Amino acid sequence: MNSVASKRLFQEYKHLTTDPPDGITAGPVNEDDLFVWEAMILGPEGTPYEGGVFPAELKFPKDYPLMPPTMRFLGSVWHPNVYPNGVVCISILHAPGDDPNHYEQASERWSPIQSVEKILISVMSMIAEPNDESPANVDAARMWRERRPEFEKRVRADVRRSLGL
Amino acid sequence: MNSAQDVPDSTDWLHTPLKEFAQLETALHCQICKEFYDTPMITSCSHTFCSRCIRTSLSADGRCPACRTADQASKLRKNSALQEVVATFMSARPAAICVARREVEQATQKARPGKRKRAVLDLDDLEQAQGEGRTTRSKSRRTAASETSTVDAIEVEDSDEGADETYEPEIERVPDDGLLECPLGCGKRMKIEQVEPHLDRCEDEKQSEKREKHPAQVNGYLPKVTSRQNGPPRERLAELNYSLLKELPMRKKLEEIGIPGWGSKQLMIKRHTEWVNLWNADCDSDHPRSKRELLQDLETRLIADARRKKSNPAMVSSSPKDQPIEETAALPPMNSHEDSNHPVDDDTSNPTPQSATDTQPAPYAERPEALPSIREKVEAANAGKQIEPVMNQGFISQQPQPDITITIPAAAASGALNDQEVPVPQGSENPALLSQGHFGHPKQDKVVGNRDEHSPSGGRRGTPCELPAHLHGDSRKMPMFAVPSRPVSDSETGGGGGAVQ
Repeated sequence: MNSVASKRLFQEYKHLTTDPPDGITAGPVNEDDLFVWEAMILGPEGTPYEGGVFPAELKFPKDYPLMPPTMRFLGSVWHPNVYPNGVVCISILHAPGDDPNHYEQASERWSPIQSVEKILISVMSMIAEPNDESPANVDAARMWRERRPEFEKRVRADVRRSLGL
Repeated sequence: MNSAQDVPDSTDWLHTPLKEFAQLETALHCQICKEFYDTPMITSCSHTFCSRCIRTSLSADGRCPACRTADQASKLRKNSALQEVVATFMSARPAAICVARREVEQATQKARPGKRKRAVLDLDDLEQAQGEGRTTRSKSRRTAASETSTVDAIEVEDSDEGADETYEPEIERVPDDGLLECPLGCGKRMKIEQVEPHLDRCEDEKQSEKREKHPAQVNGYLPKVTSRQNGPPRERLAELNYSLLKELPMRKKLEEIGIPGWGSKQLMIKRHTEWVNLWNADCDSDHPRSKRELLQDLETRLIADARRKKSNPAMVSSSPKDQPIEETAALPPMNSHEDSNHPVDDDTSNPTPQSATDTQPAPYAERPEALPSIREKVEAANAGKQIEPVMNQGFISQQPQPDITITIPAAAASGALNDQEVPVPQGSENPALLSQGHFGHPKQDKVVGNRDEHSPSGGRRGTPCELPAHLHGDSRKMPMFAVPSRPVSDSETGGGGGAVQ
């Protein structure tokens, strides 16, 4: 067991359970492995995602918090910054060194002082306000840019379907 | 010890009248490890982190994690004032949280509109809280800061211990004995007529008295004084420019500073970086550990890395770029007396069914009973112990049954062939199993050593004691992981075990 990483993950878990931010829950999937978490994010109010519940999986590297975790939505999420396979593309999840897209400010990227809570809050605000400079899902980005009503309709339909309505 | 409440966290304060303390406590946490500052160091850009944290971070990134200004470990300076604040807060915390919680309890019990003042606190509260004594970081995890904890010794802590190591209690009040005190301040009292002759000798007497008194006084504070004075102060290690060093000189360098110089260059770089961080952080600390302890710490860390890779292959493949060097060879063979090396070596050859269950999605929130287990692990990790996942019910139920039914006959058959041949060249443990008659667990310890977290010293290794009773009863002839594998003794030569798998 990597004591540095697991201690910190446990600390964060404790913090998130006792004082969770609105619309977010997160915790290790399995007590044996603090390095795989599941998170639930509520769709932000006032967006087409409102009412939806978006489960996601976070995987932490063993040298966390030096390196960021990866995050993947477990269901499909139609969003310009979410790859079709569910992987979230957001600057806070990118290690400080690499900038594959050459548009991110260093200050937005991962640093050990960030935390799961901050990631989830960032993702929540990303859901509300897509960043179409770096579309992970090009189709969704184009639809969002050009045919907003259709985009919103599709998202709402997805949300309803995911809730079993 | 039975709830997450035992791990101190700033959120402990949230539902008490002392809400603001949550922020105070967060401010006293290192932003990297999210725990209380341990030997806080200040960067050139005036941000503060634990010595270990910032050193590790700088060696990985070379930038301040807070503002991303480029910085160097050699420019770090100690933030002693903050360290004192943290230490004081930590020692005051148990008492304070106790009071705060009691407040809440009383408020709820008496259902009085919460207007109780802190002043109502009676002596019992204080004594109980202080009985918990000094709180180190690891201890405070264990100590339940709740009122149920027992009071072993009531020890009233000195508010500024440490500052007054040579402090000698002075008698301020003037005794009414008709004597005069020495005007030179040596503290002696005498009759008026003795004063004048005394004045001539006073200085001398003082000197000789000091000589007599001093040793005794030092002894009284021995534990504290010695911590720094054992040998000359340590020198910090310089970072190396790894890209300029060839493998051979590097090996030498590593051996020079007393850490193992084997393995690939990548491995050595990792080991060296870890060691430099560990060592230098220890130089910063007021309570340095012995080199032996540090070496053990280093070993634990490297083993932990290797172990994580083994136990979680999915993780590694998902993030290929941040997995530097975690071959099993990362284990330095320095404490060969410790068994902990072997289990990990064994890991390489033993495909674990565990990984399948690790990633099995199961909403954690619905399993609050898992919490103590996690906490124990963290504690153990904290204490530097080797730990491995505990088998839980889910694991057991998912254990592939065919494995067992197939392997037992196989083991029996091959064992029958080999019967009296010892040692078996393939490293098979079958004769040993057979000689046990019932494939009983005691002899199988070598085979399944890597699964066992509970007895690093090699005690009862066969059955994980977390198994429910019905699973390690006699009815089950063989522990489920007793798939013959290469024994530990062969692992170093690297031969043998392959055939059995």
